[in-house]
Amino acid sequence: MARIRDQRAVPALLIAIALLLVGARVASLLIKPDRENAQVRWVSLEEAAMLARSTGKPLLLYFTADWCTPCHQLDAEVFAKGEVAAAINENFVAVKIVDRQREEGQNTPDIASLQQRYNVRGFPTLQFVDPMGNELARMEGFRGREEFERVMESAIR
Amino acid sequence: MNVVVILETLRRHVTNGFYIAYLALIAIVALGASNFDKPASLWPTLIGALAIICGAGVIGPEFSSGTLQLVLVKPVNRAIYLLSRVAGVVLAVWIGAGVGAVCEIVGRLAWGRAAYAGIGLTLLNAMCDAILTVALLALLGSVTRAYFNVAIYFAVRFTFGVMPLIIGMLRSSRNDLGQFLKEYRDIDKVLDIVERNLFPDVLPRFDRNWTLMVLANAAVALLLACIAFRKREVPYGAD
Repeated sequence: MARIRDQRAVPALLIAIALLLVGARVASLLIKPDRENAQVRWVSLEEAAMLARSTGKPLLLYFTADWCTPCHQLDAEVFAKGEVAAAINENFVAVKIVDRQREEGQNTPDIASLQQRYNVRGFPTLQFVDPMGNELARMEGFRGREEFERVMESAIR
Repeated sequence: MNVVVILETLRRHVTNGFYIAYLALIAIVALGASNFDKPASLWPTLIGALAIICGAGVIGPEFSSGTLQLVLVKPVNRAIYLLSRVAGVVLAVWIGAGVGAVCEIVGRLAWGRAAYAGIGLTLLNAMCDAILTVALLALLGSVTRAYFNVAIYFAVRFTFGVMPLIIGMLRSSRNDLGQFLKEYRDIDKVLDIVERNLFPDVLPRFDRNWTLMVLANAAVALLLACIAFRKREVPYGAD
C-alpha cells in the first residue's frame, strides 16, 4: 500500500514552485513602480499592436514633429514628470508618431494612414484608443499638465 | 524528474520525420525573415504551433495505446512520469525555438543586418510560452484520451476568439440577456483577462509581469495535471 501511495503522491517541490510563482505574480501586480523617476516607455507601432493585444491596455498615440514647439513643452512639462510617466506606463501602451512631412517631403505609409485615420490636423495631437482602435479620448494642442491628466483619466475610465 | 523518461521522450521527437521536417521549415522561415526590418517576426508563430503539435501527445495517446498501463505497473511515481514527459516535450520545442533564433541570427549576419535586438528576448519568451502551452495540453491530456486534449484546447481558444463578437451581437438584442450584457460590461474584461492568461501572445521584449504570469499559470496547470493524473484510472488496451 505504501508503494502505491508513493506512486500517486504529488511532488512537494512542484507544489512549492507553483505557490512561489503565484505569490511572485501577485506581488508583482501589487508592487508599484518607482513613480518619481519613471520615464514613458515609448514603443514602435508594430510592438504597440502586439502589446495592446497581449496586455489589453489602451493605446496612447502621440502625434508629434521635431519642429513642433508645443510638443517640446508637452515633453518637458508632462511626459518628463515621473508621476505622469508612471501612470501612462501603468495604464497605456504609448506610441510616439513623429511626422517627417516637413523634413523629408512625405511620411511612411503607416504614419500617413494613422494620421488620416485619426484626423490629425496639427501637433501635438494625443489620441487614446482601445486595443481594437476605437477612440476613447483626444487632446489637441498643449493645454497644460492638468488638462492632459483630465483627458487621460477619462480614457482610463 | 526521471532522466530516462525525459531522454526517451526527446528521442522520440528528434527521430520523428515530421519533427525534423518541421525544424527544417522553421530554419527556412527564420532565414527568409532575417531580411525583414523587424527581428523575430515569423518563427515564434511556428514555435507556438510546434508546442501544440508536440504537446498534443504528452500523455493522451498513451492511454489509448495501452503504453501507460505497462509503464505504471512499474514503481514509477505518476506525477514524476507526467512531469518528465512534459519536460521531454518542452525540450523538443525549445530545440525548435533555438533553431529559429540561430537561423535568424545567421541570416542577419549574412545580409549584414545588425538588428539583433529582440531575438534573444523573443526566444526566451517563446520558450516560456511553450512551457505554458505544453502544460495546458498535459492538464487536458490527463483528464481525456488520445488527442481530445488538443481538440478541447482549440475549442477553448476559438471560443475566446469569437466570444467578443457573440457578446456584441447579444448586447444589441432587446431581450433580458442583451440587457444583462449591456449592464455588466466588465464581462468583456474578464473574458479578455482569462484569454490573455491562457493564450498569451509572445512579446518581443522582457516584461516581468508577462513572464511571471506565463510561468505561474504553467506551474498551476502542471500541478492540476498531476492531481488529476494521480487518481486517473488507466484502462488496459486501446479504445
